Amino acid sequence: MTRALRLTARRAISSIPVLLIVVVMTFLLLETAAGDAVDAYLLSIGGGDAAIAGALRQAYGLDQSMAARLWLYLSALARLDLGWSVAFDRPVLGLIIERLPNTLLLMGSATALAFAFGSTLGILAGARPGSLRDRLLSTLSLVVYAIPGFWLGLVLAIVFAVQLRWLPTSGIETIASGRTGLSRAADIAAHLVLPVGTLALIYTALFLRVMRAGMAGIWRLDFVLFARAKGLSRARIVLRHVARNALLPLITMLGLQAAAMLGGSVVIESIFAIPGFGRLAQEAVSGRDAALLCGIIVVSAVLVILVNLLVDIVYAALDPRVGTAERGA
Amino acid sequence: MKLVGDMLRRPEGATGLAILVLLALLALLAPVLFPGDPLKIAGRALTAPFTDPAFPLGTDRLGRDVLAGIVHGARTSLFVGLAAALAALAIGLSVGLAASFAGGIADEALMRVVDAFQIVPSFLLALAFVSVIGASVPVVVLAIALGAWADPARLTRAEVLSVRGRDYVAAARIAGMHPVEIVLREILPNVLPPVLALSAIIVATAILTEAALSFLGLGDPNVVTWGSMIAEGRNVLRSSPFLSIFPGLALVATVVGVYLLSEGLTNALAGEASVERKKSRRAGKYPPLPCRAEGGAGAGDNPPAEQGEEGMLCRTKNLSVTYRGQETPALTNLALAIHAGERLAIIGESGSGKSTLARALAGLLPEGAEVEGTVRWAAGAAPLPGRDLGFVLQDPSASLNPVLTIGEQVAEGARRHLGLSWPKARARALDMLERVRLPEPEKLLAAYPHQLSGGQRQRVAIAAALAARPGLVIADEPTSALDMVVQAEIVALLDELVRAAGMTLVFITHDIALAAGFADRVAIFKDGALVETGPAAAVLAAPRETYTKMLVASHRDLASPPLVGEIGA
Repeated sequence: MTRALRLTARRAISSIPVLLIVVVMTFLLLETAAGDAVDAYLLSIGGGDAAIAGALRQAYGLDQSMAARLWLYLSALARLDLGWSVAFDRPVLGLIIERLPNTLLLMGSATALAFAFGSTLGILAGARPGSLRDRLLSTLSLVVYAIPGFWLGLVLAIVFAVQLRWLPTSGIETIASGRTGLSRAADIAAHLVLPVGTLALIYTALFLRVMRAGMAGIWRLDFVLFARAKGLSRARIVLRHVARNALLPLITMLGLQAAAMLGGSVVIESIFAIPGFGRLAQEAVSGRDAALLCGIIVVSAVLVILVNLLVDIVYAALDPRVGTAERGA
Repeated sequence: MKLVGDMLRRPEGATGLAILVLLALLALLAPVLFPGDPLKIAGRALTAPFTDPAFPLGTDRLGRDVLAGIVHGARTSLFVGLAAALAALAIGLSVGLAASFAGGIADEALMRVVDAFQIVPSFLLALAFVSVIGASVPVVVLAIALGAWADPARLTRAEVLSVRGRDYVAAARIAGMHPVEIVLREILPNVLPPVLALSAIIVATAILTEAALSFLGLGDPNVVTWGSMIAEGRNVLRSSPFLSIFPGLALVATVVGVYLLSEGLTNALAGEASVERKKSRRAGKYPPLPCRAEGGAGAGDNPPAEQGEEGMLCRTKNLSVTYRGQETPALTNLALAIHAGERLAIIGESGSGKSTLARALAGLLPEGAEVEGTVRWAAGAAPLPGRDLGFVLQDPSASLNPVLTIGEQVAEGARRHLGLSWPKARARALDMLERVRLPEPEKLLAAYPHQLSGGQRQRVAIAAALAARPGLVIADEPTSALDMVVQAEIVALLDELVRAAGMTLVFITHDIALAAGFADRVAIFKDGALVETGPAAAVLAAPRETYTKMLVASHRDLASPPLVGEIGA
């Protein structure tokens, strides 16, 4: 495991400059925003005169040069101060921390489901590339992956929540139901079926395709021919030799998709009215809250880095070649 | 361009293009088909679809024509998708080229910026960008491009770096070609195709992102878009779900079209044969080796070897093999006998059909290969790979699975064919590793192929091939990927193992000197046909055919000493 840890430490260190670039990017975005936090604040309290605005700007350091403001922004971030949300009238960090668990629950369950189904179906398709089963699954997954998440969410909501009335249409749990313990967990689970199902369906299609494509490539490799020459059972060749190797690009894909998933949470949480991270981004947009929006971007970058570190560790555990210098021929 | 032709000959590429051409026509003809502003009220509100011929898909809450909206919406979707993808490609290609040519710190810095853009969720970035600057079509295009350029930049850089090292670029440089000319004429044409395949995905992502943005109310409010139509329909989702469903279907159809086109492009790039699919399905995954296949007779019909063929292990008659998609057979009308217990060397240059014979004997021909003629086995049935027949491949670094332990890969064949439990199969593997004289076999069981040298890997492969005690070993150029000294060791090892167990060895090689050292008999192949065969000593001392004479002479001239002492000759 030291191999994986060493690698992770190196990756963690190398992501610091990347994160710094992200922060500068968000700072520039804040600077571009028409009007600053003070304008937004004054607007929210119903206006104020120029003297108050000037005083506030001085207090926040907004009257200084751009470089000085960047420095202020960076040092605030270093103290984990992500700024003040004018839309919610409270610190940005607290807001994000409050909303994050819902999104992580949503994304985590959708990813886990999609990974399980996607890799299994991918193995079924990739076991015989070009077969009827493969072509059916490949075509189906191509169509499903082309469906925009927000629209699929709407359609599923129409069918299962509006027409059939099997599931709640929105929210993360029944408001003021007074439920506790298992009953509350079951309530949350029922609320999550549709949003998780929507995301999982689309990501199942993606993972199926990645797994299938990986297997199709691996079938052509010599070690598969050698496995056949050893007269192994078909199941063993498919699972242990072909699928086992095709799992590696799928793991990589998990890391690559982390950013896309966080981005996708905005529309899904908006469709199902889930008070999560993505919904917060939309609220920041409608509340013209640039500070909150930038805080969300910085936190999402940190999350993506963390997910990728996790993915690296899993990858290193699955691929013995990682982190060892090539020895021999 | 050949690539485009290849792509269109595939069903997925042609279908994708047809969908997109249809959509593009609709988008272009929208002002003619549905003149006037699609955002204007046209009729009664909430007309149900398929009821009023004036509004085939009905009207929305304000009485706007849904079909007109969808057709006009195609303009926005396709324009934003293409424009954003073009912008992303332009930025990505420039940054990728700049990074790969600048090298050093500039490269490092640019790639960290690329990293940053890949780490930030591009949808959040687009959302923030549009909300800060204000929604209009150009801003949306720019916002989407901003989140999409990093992938092509990274790909371009990687492709340029890999292309730049190739010989033809070096040749152009030596020939004094101007660097700019090298980039334009030698590098870009080779870098573009994979970037192009990626760009289809970028178009699809851009179309979906635009739809999501306008769904959230961040699109240009002055144009009709599918996303805004879906959002508008959401207000009356319970009573008129079609208002959201129809534009969504248009969106799905568009993106499916782009994905199909991209798949066609990717497959055309990979040269994956889909045209021959039908044929291969008929032929099946593992073409059964016709043990007596004249007139398509069943493979179960296997009389034992005829009288007067004592000591014969296998005899081929008129054996021809043609690979899928090939005109000329790789092996033509071969008549060859293999005697039990002999060491037969099959000698020929690449393309002589020697490896095809090896695979045909082992029943390991690739999918769709057509086999004619007969192969008769003394045992009656064709040998079962692994159990009756051990196969050693050329390149030991490719023939071992990189993620499984050596122990598992040697033991799995023994477990399967000798009916052993895993612990017993592992014990058998340990024994085999000792026999192929690998150091510290106990430790090796848990090691992975990348931890071994080439020669060690080939020893492992031999151990794995022989683990189930087959009677016949086919070694397909087992030494040509190894260096000289190791070659001799491997040949000596194979020779010794085969001798000790009384196995038959078919040794395939292009190296006549190597074969001369230990083979009982040689068979010389050229262009898919057998040139001559006979006892090794006789053929090499007095070759009958010109080609053999030439082969022998070229080796004698080089005075290459036999690698292994002339033991059995």
